[in-house]
Amino acid sequence: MRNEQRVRALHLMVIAAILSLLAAACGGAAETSSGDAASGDAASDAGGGGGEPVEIDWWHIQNNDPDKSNWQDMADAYMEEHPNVTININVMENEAYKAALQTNLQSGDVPDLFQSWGGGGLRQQVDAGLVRDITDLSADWIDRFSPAAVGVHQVDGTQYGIPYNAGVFGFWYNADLFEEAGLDAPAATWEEFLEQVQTLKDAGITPIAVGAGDKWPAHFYYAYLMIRAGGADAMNQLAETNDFTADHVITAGEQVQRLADLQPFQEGFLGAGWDAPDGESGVMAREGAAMDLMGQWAPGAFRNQAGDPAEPLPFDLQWAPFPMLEDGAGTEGEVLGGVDGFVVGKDAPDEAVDFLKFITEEENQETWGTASGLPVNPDAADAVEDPAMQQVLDALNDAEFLQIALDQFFSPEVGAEINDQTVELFAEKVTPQQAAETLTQTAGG
Amino acid sequence: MPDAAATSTIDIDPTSAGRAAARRRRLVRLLLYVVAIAVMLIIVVPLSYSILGGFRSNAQLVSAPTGLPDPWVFGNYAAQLGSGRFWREVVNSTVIALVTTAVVLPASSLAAFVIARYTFRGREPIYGLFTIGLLFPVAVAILPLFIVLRQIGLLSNPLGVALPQAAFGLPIAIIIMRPFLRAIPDELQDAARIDGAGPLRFYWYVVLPLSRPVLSTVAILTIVTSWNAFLLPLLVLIDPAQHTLPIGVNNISTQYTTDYAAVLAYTTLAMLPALIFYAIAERQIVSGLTSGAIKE
Amino acid sequence: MAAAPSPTETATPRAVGATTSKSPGWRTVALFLLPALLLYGAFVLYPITQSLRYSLFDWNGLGPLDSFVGIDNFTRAIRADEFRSALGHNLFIVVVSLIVQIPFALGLAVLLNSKIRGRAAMRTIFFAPFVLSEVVTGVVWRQILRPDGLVDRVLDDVGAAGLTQGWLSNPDIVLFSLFFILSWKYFGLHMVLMLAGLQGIPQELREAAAIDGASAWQSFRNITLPLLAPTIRVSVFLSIIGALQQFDLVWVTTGGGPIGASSMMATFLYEQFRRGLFGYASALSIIIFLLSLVVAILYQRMVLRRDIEGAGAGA
Repeated sequence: MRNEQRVRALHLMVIAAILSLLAAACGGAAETSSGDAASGDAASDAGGGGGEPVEIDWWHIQNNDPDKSNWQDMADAYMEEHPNVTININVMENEAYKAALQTNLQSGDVPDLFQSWGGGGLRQQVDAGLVRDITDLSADWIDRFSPAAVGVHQVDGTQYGIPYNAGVFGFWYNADLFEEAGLDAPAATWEEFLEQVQTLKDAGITPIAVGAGDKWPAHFYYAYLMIRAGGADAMNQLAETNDFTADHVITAGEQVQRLADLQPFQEGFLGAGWDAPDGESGVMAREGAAMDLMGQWAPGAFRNQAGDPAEPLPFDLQWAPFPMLEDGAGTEGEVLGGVDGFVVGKDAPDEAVDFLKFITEEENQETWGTASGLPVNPDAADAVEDPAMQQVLDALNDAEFLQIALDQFFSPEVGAEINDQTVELFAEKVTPQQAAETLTQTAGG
Repeated sequence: MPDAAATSTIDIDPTSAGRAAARRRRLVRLLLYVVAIAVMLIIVVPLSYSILGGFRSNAQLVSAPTGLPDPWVFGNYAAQLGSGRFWREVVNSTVIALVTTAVVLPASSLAAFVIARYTFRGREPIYGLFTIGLLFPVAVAILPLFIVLRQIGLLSNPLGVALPQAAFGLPIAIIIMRPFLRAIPDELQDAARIDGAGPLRFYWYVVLPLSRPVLSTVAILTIVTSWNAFLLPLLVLIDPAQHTLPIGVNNISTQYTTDYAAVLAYTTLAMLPALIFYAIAERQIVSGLTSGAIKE
Repeated sequence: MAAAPSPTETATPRAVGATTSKSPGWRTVALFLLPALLLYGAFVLYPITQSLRYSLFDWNGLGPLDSFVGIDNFTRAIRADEFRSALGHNLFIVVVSLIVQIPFALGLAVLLNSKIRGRAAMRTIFFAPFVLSEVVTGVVWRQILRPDGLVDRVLDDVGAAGLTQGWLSNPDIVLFSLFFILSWKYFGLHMVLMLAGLQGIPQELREAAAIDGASAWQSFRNITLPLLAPTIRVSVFLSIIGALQQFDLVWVTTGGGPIGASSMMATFLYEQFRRGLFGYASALSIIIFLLSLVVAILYQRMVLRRDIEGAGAGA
C-alpha cells in the first residue's frame, strides 16, 4: 500500500509539473510584451487635442517643503491655465520611490511623468519600450538648456526626459566647526584633506557624516576618487569596457581605504540613511559632523532636519569642491554630479510634455533658487541667492566633464554592486583589488 | 492542574532535607516569577512607548525618550485619525482580510472534508501536495507570483492580494481542519447515507454546522495573517488609495523620519485593531493554533 | 468508543471513516477538491514551477525570456559570499532559537501551568506580540534601538552609558539584536504550545511520582519532558522552518544591513528581485524551497513519525 501510494504520488506530481510547464509555455507569450495592458489609472489620451479631459500621473521625490509645495503650486497653476488637464501627484521618499517605480515598470503600468537620473536605468527602460520619445515634442524649446544637462535623459540621441535640477557634488561643510579646529575649508589636495580629517578628530569633532546604510551616498567617494585618479578619458573608457580592474579604480579603492582607516565617520554610519534624524542629514543639521559629500539638495535637507525648512541653519554652511589627487590624471573641470529630470512614460499624453515645458520656464525654475536645488534653465540662474549654491552652479557651468553618479550611470545591477562594494571598502571588509574584481565580474567587463 | 505547590501539600516532609527541598522549590518558583515579570515588562514597555509616544511632541521624544507625556499632546493622534489615510487603510485591510477568509474557508473545508473522511486514490499525495505549500511562503514565491498576477491582470487590485493569500493559507487551514473533520462520528455519516444523503448534503447539513469551532479558528488565523501581511500588498497595490495598514506604517516611518511622534501615533493606531481583535478572540486563537499543531 | 477519537485514529492514514464509506466516486471527490486545487494550483504550484523555469534564464523581467543560462544562476548563488553569509545568518537564528527560545518558552509555560497569581494576564501579554504585524514590530523596535533612543537613554540613566551600542548599526551585534526582536515577537507562540502540551499531562502521574518520593526536578525530567516531547518537537519544527523563511521583520527592521550583516536568504532574494535579476532570484527561491523541503522531510522521517504513530498525549 505504501509503495503504491508513493508511485502514485510521483505520477501525480509529474503530471502536475508537466501541466504547469505546458501552461507556462502558453503563457510565455505574454511575457514578451511587458506592457500590453495600458493602465487604468492614467487616462491616456495620447495625441489628444486640447479640450478633452486629460490626466497626468506625476511621480516625484521632493517629499519635503518647500519643494513639495512648489511642485504642487506649479501643478495647480498649470491646471488653472488648462482646465481639461488633471495632474495627479504621487510624492514618495527616495527609497520607497525606487521600489514602487520598479514594480510599476515591471507591470507595464508606467507613470506619465516620473523622476529619473538617466543613465543605465533609463537605457533599460528604453529597451523595454516603457518610455516615450519626446524629441519632436520638445524640439522647439529644448535648447534653453545646456547640452550636458539635456544629454543625461537621452539614449542614443533620442530624448526621453527633461531636466529640472542639476548640480555638482561637493563638500558641504560647517565653517564654524572647521574654525573650532583651526581650519579654514576642506583642502584642495587629497593628502592635505586626510590631514585635516585627523586634525578634526583630534579636536574632538567628527569629520564626516555619511549615510552608508543607504549606500549610494558612500559611493560618491569611490566615484570621485576614480575621476580624480583617471580623468575623463579613463571614465569614458570604463563606461565602454566595464573593466573595473583599471588602474584608476584600484587607486580610488586604495584611497577610500586610507580614508576609512582614519575612522572619520559618525557613529553608526554603516546603518545610517541619508535623510533621517539619525542619518547623514540629521547629523549635519545637529552639527554632529564637520562635512558631508553630497549634492545640491543637501542644504534643503539640512534645514528640514534642523526643524523649519524656512529658517536658516544655526551654523555657517559652506561648499568646497572635492580635493584633487596629486598624481591623478583628473582636472578640476572633471566633476561628479547629477541631473534630475522627469522622464515621460509610454502612454503619457502630449500635455505631459507641455507641462514639462511649463515647469522649466524661467519663472518656475526660479523657485529653485531659494529651494533646495539648482535651476537648469540658465535664465533662472540669477535667482540663486545662497553664495554657496552659486559656487555649485559655477562649478557646474565650468565643468568640462560631468560624470553622472555611478549607481545611476551604470545599469541598476552594476550600480547596486558599486554601492555595495564601496560600503564594503568603508567597513574594511574587502580589498580594493577584490572590489574591482567583483565589479568587473558583475558588469561583465 | 499539576503544580509544585500541590505536590508539596500532599507530601509534607518534615525532615531537614525535605524542608531544604521545599525551599529550593520556592526559590526556583520565585526566580521563574521574576523572569516572568521581566518578560512582561519587556513586552509591555515597547508597546507603551509607542502608545505614549504618540501623546508627546517630537521635542519631548528627543530630549527625554524615557519620560511620560508632559504635557499630553493630542494633536498627533488627532491628525492621523482625521487624515483619512488611516481609515482608508483600515478599510482596505479589512476588505482584503474578509475576502481572503471568504475564499479560504469554503475551499479548505471542502477539500479537508474529503481528505479527512473518504479514501480515494492519491489522497495522501494530494494532502502532501498541500502541506508542501508551507515550505514555499509568499516571500520566497513573490517573484513568479508577481508575474502570474501581472499576466492575469490582477495587479493594483485587492483580489490580487486576497486570492494568493487564500491560496497560501490553504495548507495550514487543511492541516488544522483534517483531524477535526475526521473526528466527526461515523454514525452521523452512516445515518446520512441511510437517509439517502450523498457526500454533498452530508457536508452541508451535518459537517459544516458541526465545524463551527474549527472554521472560526481558521477564520481568525486567516484574518490575523492577512491583516499583518506586508510584502504581497506592497508589491501588488501601488496606488496609495489601496494601501493596507502595514504598508502605511512602513511608508510613514520612512517618509516622515523627523516626525517621530507622528510615526509612533500612526504605528499605535495600526496596532489597535489587531490588539482589540486579540482581546476578543484570544482563547480561540490560542486553542486553534495548539490543536492544529499538536494534532499534526 | 466512536464518540471520542482514539489515539490510533490520528496516527495511521487510514481514518476510521474510511471503513464505513468507500470512495464516493472520482467525480464527487474531484468536485470537492476542485476549488482548493484550482486556487492552489494557480497561485502556489504554478509559481513554483515558473520559478524553476525562470531560474534557468538571465532575465530582468521587462523583455522576452530569451537568455538561457542553464544552472549558472545556481552556481552563482552557491559561490556568492553574500548568499552564503545570509544562509549562515539563517542557521544562526535556527540554532540560537533552539537553544534559547524553546527552553525559555518551556520554562515560562511551566510557570504559567502552576497556580501563580495573574497567570491569565501573563498568558495574554506573552502572546500579544504574536498578533502584531511584523511591520509594526520592526518600526517600534527601530525607534527604541536607534542611537540615543529609549534603550540607550535607559542605560544612560542607570549609569551604564558605556554599554550603549549601535544596536542596529553595528555589523557585529545587529544579528543578536535581530534575534532578540524575533524572540520578542514569536516566543509567545512556543509558550502557548508548550502550555497546551503541559495541560494535557494528567495530574495523577505527577502526584503518583511525588508520592513515590520524586523531587520536582526528577518529576519534570522523567515524566513531564517525555510526555511533552511531541509538543516540543512540533515547536522545534516550526522554529526551524520559520527561521529559514524569515523575511518581513528582518526587512523592515534592518533591510538586511548594515552591509548585509543581518541578511537572510529571503531578504537576499528580494534584493536580487529589486535589482532586476529575476533569473538569479528565482534560482534563490528554488534553493530556499529545496532546503526547507529537505529539512521538512528529514524531520518528518526521523522525528515526527514516532509521534504520529505513538499518538499525542491526550487529545
